[in-house]
Amino acid sequence: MDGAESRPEQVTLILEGERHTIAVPEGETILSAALGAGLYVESSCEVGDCGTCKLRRLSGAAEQDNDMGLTDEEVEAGYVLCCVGRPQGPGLVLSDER
Amino acid sequence: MFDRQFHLEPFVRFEELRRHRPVFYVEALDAWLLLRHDHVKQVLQDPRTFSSDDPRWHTEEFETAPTMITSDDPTHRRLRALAQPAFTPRRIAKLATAVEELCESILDEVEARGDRFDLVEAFSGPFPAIVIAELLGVPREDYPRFRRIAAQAVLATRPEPERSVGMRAGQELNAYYGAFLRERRESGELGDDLTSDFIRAQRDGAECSDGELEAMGSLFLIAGHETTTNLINNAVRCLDDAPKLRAKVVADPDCARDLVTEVLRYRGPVLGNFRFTTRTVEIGETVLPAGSRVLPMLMAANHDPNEYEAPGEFQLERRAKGHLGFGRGIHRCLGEPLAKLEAEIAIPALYRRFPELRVDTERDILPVEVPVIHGCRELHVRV
Repeated sequence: MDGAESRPEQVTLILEGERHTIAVPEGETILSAALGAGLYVESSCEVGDCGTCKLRRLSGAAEQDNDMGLTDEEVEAGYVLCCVGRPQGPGLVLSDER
Repeated sequence: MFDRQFHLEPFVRFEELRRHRPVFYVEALDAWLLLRHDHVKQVLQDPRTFSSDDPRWHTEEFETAPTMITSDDPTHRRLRALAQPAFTPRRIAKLATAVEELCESILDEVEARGDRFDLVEAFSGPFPAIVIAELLGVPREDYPRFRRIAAQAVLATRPEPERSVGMRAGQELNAYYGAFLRERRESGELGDDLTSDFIRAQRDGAECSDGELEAMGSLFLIAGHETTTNLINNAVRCLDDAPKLRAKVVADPDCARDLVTEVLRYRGPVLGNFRFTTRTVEIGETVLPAGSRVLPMLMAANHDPNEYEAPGEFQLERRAKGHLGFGRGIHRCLGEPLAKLEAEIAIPALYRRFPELRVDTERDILPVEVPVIHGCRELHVRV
């Protein structure tokens, strides 16, 4: 059992101008961790299709199972769908500033 | 309060009400109007407290299956999931060329009408109606019929006696789409359209009844064009007093995105949507008991000076953050990518074709007079 792998990643969310740092446990999405921490991230379909929960990646890396909710330009610009997005390593910062 | 003058310029009355009575009971609608951005957001972000499943929609006379806009989770989520894949931003982006071609072909017909016409009848009505017809796979030539029924169906949001007229029209539209659905299913001819997707999903075991599919198709026939028609109408009204902006729209099609965003904030086509409280809840200083009806006014929120500087000014480059033109939260408009695509294509194309287009001041603008829509039944223009 590798303790380091299961450690939650710290993710910073900038929502309506305020910075919040949340812990995202392995296997959990950024959206569910944010909601669990009492933050409101707007979302709708929660399967990566509608694009409502997209946030712009300012630094760090994220992976997502589905990105149909993003246009090609948004993928290029580094948007992440929080409902299916997970941090890939430390230092992920996401912002709702579009 | 909901007279013709209100429907032409709702923000004038919202402004005064927001200052003095931001949570305001309207007896005729048996609903509390909400006019502040933070109050409207509170409602849209909390679907458990503010239900979309209003008992008003379930009368014995007009019982219909739930739709994603008249239900809460898990029903809402199940129904939305059937249609969501067809409306992803990526799939909608692929329709751009076909939508552009359709727009230009309708404008060719508009050109033959001479120098004065009703924009709604000639262009802003048919264009989105044909797009949604093609998406659903219903015959394009049926659009005048479903536009007529849809215009009546929205009356269901008015007090009686219009409400019953609207509910009956809703049933007529369900029956129209239901007949089409059955025909397609029986013929077995499935194609690349949403109706075929529904039939395949149902065949593959998706949990949805025939009644739910009928109601969903019918919802698309209404929501799929009424809002976009009025987004285009409202854009024309916004641009009418702004010659420099009109010139910019013609010269620089890239500004269409900013233009549509500001129209959605300043003069969006959806005024608001009813919600029903499931518990006692405070909105500002007003305590509403469980079972109260609220009508969060998106457009009033989008003009709230606590949220936007100089909200009464139409500013092309405002790029309003957090505007509520498409709603917010789980019920946020499913058709947002399509509506944006259509409007971003239609508005520059219209002014490229008719650079001198202006609202005809010799004719009255006839507004849509229902409490949930801001738009025009007739908008006469001169070109």
